[in-house]
Amino acid sequence: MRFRIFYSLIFAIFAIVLSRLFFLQIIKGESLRIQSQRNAVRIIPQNGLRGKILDTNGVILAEDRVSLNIAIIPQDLKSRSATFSELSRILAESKESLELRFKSNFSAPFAPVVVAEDVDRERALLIGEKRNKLPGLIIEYEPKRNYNFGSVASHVLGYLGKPETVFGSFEGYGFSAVQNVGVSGIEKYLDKFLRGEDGGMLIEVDNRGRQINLVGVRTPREGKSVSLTIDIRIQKILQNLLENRRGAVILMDPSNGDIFALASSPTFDPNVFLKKRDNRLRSEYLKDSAAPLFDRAVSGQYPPGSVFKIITTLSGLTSKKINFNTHFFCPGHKTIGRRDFKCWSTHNDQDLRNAIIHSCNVYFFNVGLVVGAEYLSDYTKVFQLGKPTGIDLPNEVTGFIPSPRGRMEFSNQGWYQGDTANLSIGQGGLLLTPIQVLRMASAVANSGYLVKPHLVKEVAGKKIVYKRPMKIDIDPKFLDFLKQSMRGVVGDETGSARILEIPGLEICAKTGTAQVGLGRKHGWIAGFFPKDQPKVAFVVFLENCEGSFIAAMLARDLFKEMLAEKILPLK
Amino acid sequence: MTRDFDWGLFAITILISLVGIMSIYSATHYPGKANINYSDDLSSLSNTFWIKQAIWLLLSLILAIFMANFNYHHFWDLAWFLYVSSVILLFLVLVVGVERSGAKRWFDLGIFSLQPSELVKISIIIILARYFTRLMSYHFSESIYHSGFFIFFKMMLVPIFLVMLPAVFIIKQPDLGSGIVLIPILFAIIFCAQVPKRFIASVVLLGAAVIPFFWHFLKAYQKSRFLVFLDPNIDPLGAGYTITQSKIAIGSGKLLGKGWLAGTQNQLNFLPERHTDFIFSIIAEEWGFIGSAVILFLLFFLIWRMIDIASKANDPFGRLISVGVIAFFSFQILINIAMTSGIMPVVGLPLPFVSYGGSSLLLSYFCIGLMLNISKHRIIF
Repeated sequence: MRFRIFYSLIFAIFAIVLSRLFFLQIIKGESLRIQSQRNAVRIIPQNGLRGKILDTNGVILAEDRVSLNIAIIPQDLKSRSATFSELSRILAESKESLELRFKSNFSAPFAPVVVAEDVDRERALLIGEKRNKLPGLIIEYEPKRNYNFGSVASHVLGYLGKPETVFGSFEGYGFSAVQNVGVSGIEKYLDKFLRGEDGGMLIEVDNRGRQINLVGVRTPREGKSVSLTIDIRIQKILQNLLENRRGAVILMDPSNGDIFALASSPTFDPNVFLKKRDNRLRSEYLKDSAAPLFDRAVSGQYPPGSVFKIITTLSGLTSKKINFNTHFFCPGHKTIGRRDFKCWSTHNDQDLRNAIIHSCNVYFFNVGLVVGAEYLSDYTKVFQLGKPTGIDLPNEVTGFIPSPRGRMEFSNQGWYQGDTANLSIGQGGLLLTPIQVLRMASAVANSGYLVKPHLVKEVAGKKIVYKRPMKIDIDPKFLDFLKQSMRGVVGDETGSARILEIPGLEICAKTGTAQVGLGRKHGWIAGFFPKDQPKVAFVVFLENCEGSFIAAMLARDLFKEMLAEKILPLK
Repeated sequence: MTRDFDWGLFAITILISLVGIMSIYSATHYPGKANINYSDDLSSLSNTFWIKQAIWLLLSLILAIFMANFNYHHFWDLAWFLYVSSVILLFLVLVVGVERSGAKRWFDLGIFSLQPSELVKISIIIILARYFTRLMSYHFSESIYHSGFFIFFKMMLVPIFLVMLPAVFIIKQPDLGSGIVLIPILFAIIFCAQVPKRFIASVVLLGAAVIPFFWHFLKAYQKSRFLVFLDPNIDPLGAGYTITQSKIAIGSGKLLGKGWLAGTQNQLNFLPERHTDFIFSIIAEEWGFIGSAVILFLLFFLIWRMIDIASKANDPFGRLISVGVIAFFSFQILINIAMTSGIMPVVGLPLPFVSYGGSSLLLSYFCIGLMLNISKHRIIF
């Protein structure tokens, strides 16, 4: 009897064990099979190179090059101190700092720890020779973006950054699996074209993550290259002149919207954002009150001042409230309501042409008052002010056009005659972006076409075809008159931008000095040349300067240098 | 007259051993991976393990055949000698034994090493079989001089002491598995020796009450093994790693397995101790449920043959030896597969006939030889 109980017990033992095996292998088999595959198979991503960015002449502005990193696989490290002293000798860096970096970057025993980034080729070779003697050392290849001209054209190109949201989850594997993405500029605007197609290796690893077999490979592909309309030579001269100033300058072909140069100042070096460690400069950029990362050319909106008189003139002519021969008298000020509005000088009798040439405020107060605020404000729509120009850069802003109706709707405040006067000379809450002002000047230059300003010429070798510029409904006579007058601004002895006169170029322009309170002024000049069949339209905007003549001087220096370098696009 | 040699038992044992050698080969081979430097972590694993095991198998077969022809009644006289000398060896191994991975279990005998704890297992079986055979021929009820406590002393406390003495030395090595395996041997023999149930019950209850106190005597790693068994996720990369990886290995074999030499958990080194204690995980991974059920069936068939021999043994001594051997094998099989499949805490016990290990294989075949001999003598009158 006892024996039988004993034997049944043993039988039960086998039954229990067998049912456990059935449970694990048949019922949970599928999920455990997946787990075993996850154990053994790992994906090593290989980032595709990002596409190049070239200027209009094919000069490389940004490209990915292979950077060599020295890394250590912690579990393979045999002699720690010997390895670090050898590294310190070759890299000419203190042993302590290398070890500190090793400690702070350590994530897992099998994951390579980068101790030196972007090592030059000779040193990497020297370390490569030591690899047999010092196991655990590896040389990693990593594509690294390089902006060959540093801060030149940085607002056009933009910069790269890590997509923070996706990043964290990959760290445990020791791979920076996620590519950099464009954060601003063309890098952002054309990110999906520029971005390389990721490849990777599917490898079978052992318990320590060492590669045993190569299961599959997908070769990474380089992103598409992008050619810009920018001429880096012009850009360089321009940024030299802009140094230590705050502002924006844009040069464009008024006939089609090709931008030759676009600069915002102060500027930044996009290479700084690619340094993995040292983020000192990066945070300096972010903290700087001058906001170097901010693109004033398309994201900044400012009162245009007298540059806006172009619009006031055309609204007056179009509304037939004035004609070419309308005269107003400038006693140096005008009293509207109970306030006194000053002109910057006493111009006495002025006709329209002279008023433009001298930028007489009183004349345009009168024009604005006869045209009416509502009409003037609506007229800006003809030039699509108050709307983004559609330039191929991210974060373009709209500007702001005040109007009596708008003021009623949004702030329930009244509109006074003084507001009309202010608007007619480009003040009183009116805000425009430099690129909008440039497009406005271009429309005068090309006799009534609104171009779409753009920077991209070709993507992957294919020319980008832009829509034909939009024809503005405006009497060509008015534009021709305006052109002649703007020529006078520069060419006439008394013109407000006389300083810009460069013989042979026939520059036409309109100046502007915007009061922005506390005695601060912004200087503007916008124009084009040569007068007949203009090839270059330009806008210069300078924050907090003495006035428009500083902007005019900068434009003069720029064109003279371009002339000397023979890079004025005049043919 | 003696019966014929029990070929069935002998053949099934050899078959299981051959499966074991195949699995050891799979567990320790590294084809075409020369580009990887395994010297650091696999110094203990080499391609020659299966050859060593094959040599051990040959020696074991010789031992088994010798034992099959060595009348087991001689052990009646040798019992005390075996018991005392194995206890002395156990003591000595603590003093002069070689230490491997923190445990002193081996005598270094030049070309091979020996574990005296294996010898103890058979000595215990024989001494208990002899002790209870004598006790069973003793009619307590007729002796009015024997109080109830004296009977309890004779029937329970003496055998428990006989087991505890070597068990203490073994657990001190430390080798919890070999120590624990003595307990089912003891209880199986006590149970089958017709010891009153109330005696057994009282000892079991007492033992259950005392177990919590033993918790403090366990080594830290033994405690963590137990805690990890309760919840492997508390330490998936440390103590729980082995259990988790072993379960993945077994389960991922599914119905048909990944094929010999093709188990990823095995070949890619995810399973520690896979040629010894965790050999079953490899069989299950590479041969699937079908393969593991077949090996389980072979083991069951082996036990079943032994049960048959035990029930037909012609004397209590032979029967009790058989019971001890059956308990010994069954318990090891249960513990080993249960721990590899995660239903018991990890205690280092090999799977008999399959796991790599010379001493264990020799002992197993010694037992087989003993069973064959008992089988031979079963109809002598």
